[in-house]
This record gives sequence, C-alpha cells and structure tokens, in this order.
Amino acid sequence: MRSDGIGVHVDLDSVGDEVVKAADSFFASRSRIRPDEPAVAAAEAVATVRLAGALGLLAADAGEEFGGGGGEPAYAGLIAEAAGRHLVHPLVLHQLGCVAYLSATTGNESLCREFALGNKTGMLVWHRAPATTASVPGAVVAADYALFHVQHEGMAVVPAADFTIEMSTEPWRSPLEAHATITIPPATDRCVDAESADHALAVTGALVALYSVGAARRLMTDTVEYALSRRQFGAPIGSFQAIKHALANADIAIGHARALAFGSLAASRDGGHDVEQDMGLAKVAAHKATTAAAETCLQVYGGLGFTWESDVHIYLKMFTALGQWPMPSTLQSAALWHSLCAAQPTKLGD
Amino acid sequence: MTETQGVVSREEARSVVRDVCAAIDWQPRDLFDPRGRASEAVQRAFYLGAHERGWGVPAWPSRYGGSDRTFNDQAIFHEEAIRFGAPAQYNRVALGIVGPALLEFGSTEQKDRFLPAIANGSEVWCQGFSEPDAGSDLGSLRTRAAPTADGADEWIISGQKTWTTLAHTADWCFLLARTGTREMAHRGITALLVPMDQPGVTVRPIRQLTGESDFNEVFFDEARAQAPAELGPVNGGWPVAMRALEYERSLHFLERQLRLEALARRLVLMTSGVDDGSSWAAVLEVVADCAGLRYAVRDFLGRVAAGERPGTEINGTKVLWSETYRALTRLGLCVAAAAGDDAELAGWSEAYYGSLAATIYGGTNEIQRDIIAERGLGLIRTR
Repeated sequence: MRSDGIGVHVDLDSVGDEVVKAADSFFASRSRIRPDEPAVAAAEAVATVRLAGALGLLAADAGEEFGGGGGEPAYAGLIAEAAGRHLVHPLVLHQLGCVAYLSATTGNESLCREFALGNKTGMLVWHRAPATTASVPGAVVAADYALFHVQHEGMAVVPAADFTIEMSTEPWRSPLEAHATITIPPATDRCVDAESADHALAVTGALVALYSVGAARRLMTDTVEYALSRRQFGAPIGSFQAIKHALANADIAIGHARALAFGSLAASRDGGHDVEQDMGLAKVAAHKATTAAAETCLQVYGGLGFTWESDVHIYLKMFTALGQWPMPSTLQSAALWHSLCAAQPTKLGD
Repeated sequence: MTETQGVVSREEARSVVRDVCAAIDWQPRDLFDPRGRASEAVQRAFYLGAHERGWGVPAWPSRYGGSDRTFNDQAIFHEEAIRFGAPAQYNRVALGIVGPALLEFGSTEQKDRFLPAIANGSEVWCQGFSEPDAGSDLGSLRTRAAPTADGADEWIISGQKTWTTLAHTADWCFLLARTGTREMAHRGITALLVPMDQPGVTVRPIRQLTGESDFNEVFFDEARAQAPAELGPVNGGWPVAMRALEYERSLHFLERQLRLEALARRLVLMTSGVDDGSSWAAVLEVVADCAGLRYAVRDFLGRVAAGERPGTEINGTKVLWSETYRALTRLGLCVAAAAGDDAELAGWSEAYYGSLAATIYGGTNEIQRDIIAERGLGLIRTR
C-alpha cells in the first residue's frame, strides 16, 4: 500500500504479490464445490482449511504471537478474494474470521495459533437476543468450534460438544453455502470484548466482500467467454449492445465494491470508526453488486442459466446467503449512525 | 479513510483556504442554501486570492504562473477548498482541461502566450466539442476549418457547437474542427485555439429544465483563428481531445465525489428522523455506493499522481457516480416528501433535477459502457 497525499492508493508490494500467487496456486488445486455432494464438499472444506493453515494462508496479517505472518491487513483480503476466485467452500471465510476475532485482543494467543495453523476449525455465529437459534451461511457440521458473537456483549468460544447444529437440505439453498441452525448454548465467558468483536466483525465484512468479488469476477469471465462464443442472428451475442451494457454495469459495480473492500481493509491498519463503517459498507456494496452480476450472467446464458447443471445458481445462492453476514452495529439502523453523523456539520464535505 | 499527507500539510492548505475566504468575505453556506452558490465574480475573487498565495495552479511550472508543486499538493488544496465550502472552481474549463492540454501538447510559443493568462485569471476558456449532430458520435463532427486562400497563417471556421459551458463569458475556445474529409472521420479533426470576441462568433444560451443556463450554442460563421492556432498536429486533434477528457475526469471527480458524500450525509441525517426501518436498507445501499466511489476516486488520483494512466475503471466511476447521484437525490426527495419537510423537499428537488444532466455530460453513460465492454471486458466492437 502506498500513500499519495490525496488518499490511499492501494498497490500490491512484492509480498502482496507473493501472497496472491501462493493463494491462487493452493486454491486452484482444491476441488470446486460439488453441489450434489454436500458431505464430500464439507469434508473437503475442512481439509482445505487445515492445509491453508499449514501454508500460512489463514493468518498472513495477524501478529506473530497469534501464529500469523505479521503482514498487512489487506493480505487477508487477497486470500479471501483468491478463495472466491476458485470457488472454494466459504468455510475458509469463517476460519479467516475466527483469526480476526481471536487476534483482536490479547489473551487468546494460544487458541488463535491453533486456528491460524489450521489445527482447529471454527465457524462464526452471530446471536441477537431473544432468538435461541442462529442461521449461519457457509457452516459445516465438522467444525471444531463455534465462535459466538453476542451483540453488544462480545465473543465466546464454544467447542462442538456444547452446541447442536442442523444442516438445511432444501434444494433452493445451495449445498455450497449450506445453512446451519445452531442452538445457542448458555452464556459462556466472553474472550473478546464488545468493541473488539465489533471491529473484527467489520473486518469479516470486508473479507466476505472480497470473497464475493473474487467469485463474481470468475463468473463474469466465464460469462464473457460464453457471450463471445454463443451466436444468434449470425453474430456472437457479445456484439449486441444490450448484452455488452448489462455486463458493463455488472463490472462497474463489482469494481467499485472491490475498491471499497480492499481500500478500507488496507486502511484498517490505522484504525478509526470511519474505516470500520467502510468495511461494513463494503459488504453491503459487494452483496448488491454480486447478486446483480449473477442475475445478469444468468440472463446472458439464457435458459441454460436457469438449469441446475449451470454454475450460475451456485454463485447466485452463495451471494444471496453471504448477504446475511451481519453488519457492524453502527450500520444496522439510521438512528445508530445518526449519532456518529450528528457530531459533524452538514456543510459540504464535512 | 485515513487521511494522508502530501508535501503540503492539510493544516497549511486549510489555513490558506480560510484566509482567502475571509479576505473575500465568503462564509460557507448550508448545502441547500439557495445563496450557497457563488457567483462567477466570487469564484474569480477566491481563485485570485488563492493565486496570490501560490495556490491558483500550484502544480504548473512557475514559468507559466504556477508554483512548481506536485499534483498531490494541488489535489489536497482542491479537496480542502471543497471541504471548507469555498466557492466553486473559477474558469474550470481552462484550469481543468485546456491548461493541462497546453502543457502536454502546446508549442513553446503557445504555452508562453496562453498559460500565464489562464493562471492569472485574465482569460476564460470554453470547450467546443459537441455539435447538434455529433454528440456521442463526436468523430462525425462537421464544423469546418480551412486555411485562408491567400496563404496567410490563418484558419477560417464555420459550423455550430452546442452544450458549450462558459461560452457566454469565454475569451477563447478550445475547438475541434474538421480539417480533413468526412471519410477521414476522427483522423480528419484538428484541435484549434479560437478567439471568441470576433464578428464571426455568436453565442446563444440554452435554458435547461432547472431554469438555469449553464450551456450555450455557439455559431461560427467564417470566424478566424490566427497562428499558432493548432494544438497538436493538423488532423491529429482526436488524441488531444481524448487526453483532454481524461484531465476532466481527474480533479473534477474529486469535487463530484465530495459533493455526493455531503448529500449522502444529509440523507442519513434526514432518514434518522423518520426511520421506520424500511428506508434504511435503500439508504444504506446508496451510501455504500458513495463510499465505493470515494475509494475508487482516491485510488485513481493516486495512480495519476504516480504518473500512471489508469484503464477503464474511471469510465465506470463516471457511470456509478452519475447514477448514484440521481438515485440518492431521488431517494432524498422521497424521504423529504414522506417527512413533510418543505424546506428539505425544495433542496432535494433542485438537486434531483440537476442530477439528470450527469448521466449525459462528459460522455454519455452509454458511451462509457461501450468503452468498458469493449476495452475492459473484451467484448466485440460494433460501431
């Protein structure tokens, strides 16, 4: 990352390049999601997380005491984006998130190292009282722990033996991102305070955004290729303005969501409420951009896009599911954000 | 976003902005205050005050009236001026488009003649590109320029331009004219520097749907331009024009992005007063788009400062900015109407109607999408 006076110009340094190469090389070697074999997909997801830990891909940004490489926060984003690009199971997002939570405060170093190395696997679960269950996009039964983020209270680590999980099997949900309904265990000790947990939640918002952006870019590449080869009226459909403009719109929205997610994650090194908000907004922008892009790609494929055989539904269901990833509390209602904005004059730019 | 520092500190830039505003007795106004817009005379006064302090065209060479500062310094000063609520940029075509084009393509004689007069605020410029039958299809323009028959080093120009900002006050026009055959299309166009104060030039304001007249029609009837009138080679005006449009997308976008975020903040504050939960999701999406634009514009400016020429991302930023501007102001209008707040409703209505030009000017969004689809995504060119 390079600072250029007028703002933050995010630019990969040589270490960042190496991170991308390593992540791309590893994730490309893993199986893409198998929509018809959820059990196999879940087992592969766990194996992917364990191997990613061994390769140092789960905590490139965390401090050494947490088992990390001490790199830029943006490195975790590059890894999440590469995971999306190769359509690996979003359990890896949960694992990156677990490291973000556990490294947010001191006191969790030894447990965090286990997650960073892939020795333990975990899922992030958000709990808003008075609900007694929670829906978790990207969950798998085989995870060793659930990290419960209880709104306004903080985060607690719960081993698998202490919670129950039921996977949904409805065909309209993608097995790729199978939802789990987790029964909330009794209150347990919080090992991350509320403020640090909110920061970690914001970080995971940017990671989810980059994972989605990586996947959406992959879908766009495949769709452009299809539009160049599919012929109607004697010409490739990729020569028709209606198709070109629809795909351009998708590209614009994805590009700006990426700029926001990556830029805010890079800037999070220096902290600040505005950056936390931006990371949360990145999730909002990415959800809107990627679901719209998937709808556009489905339309470009025509009837083929509506089939189970096509990959489009895998992407679309995943983007839809990841939209449920929660936002930092300040973005949850206008009234909450108002308290932050009200301190500032409404004159232009301030 | 974390604020970073260039060579000039932000405090120093703010201090200059405050000093100049105080010197010209300008108080920053509320966003929707109808008195908030500075007249051209006030814009000029602010510009001259900044110029006296070395901040008119800080990144230009001192030989031409600048201060030999960096692009970053210029951008930081510009940003602080906007944030403070200083009057809008004076002579923006000259400072944002013509000046940079002269610096890149002008001869020594042209630079010496024109740049100091732009820097000291004594000459205003307009840009004559669009024509009634050559808007998005700019390469088909028909305004004709031909050398005089007597061999004098002079061009005779006839034709019509339209949507010409500042033509009613301009001393000079940065004009695109056909000097080759129509078949040569964009390869038969020359960029000419044409004086506006002459018998062959007629300017007619165009009244917009907002009731204002920011644009004009300009008629050239055997108007004359004396050497050195060509900017770049004869029949080589197209690359000069395209590059000039890139300058326009540089610092202008910073101002647009900051104004949009100010509107977004206004919308959030208003929504919080009437929030029933249903409006918030829509507001949040627009606010997220504004934040995306902020990072994209900063990234773009950082690349420009580093001497890079970014790709089609900026075309996408123009589309997203203009469409977010429209969506945001429309949403503001709806929320204000629901709240029954007449003063807010008036402000948002004016902002909404004003936003409708943004998807058209500076290259229509359709042209931007063509560019992204063809150059960015690799789809097939069909025009």
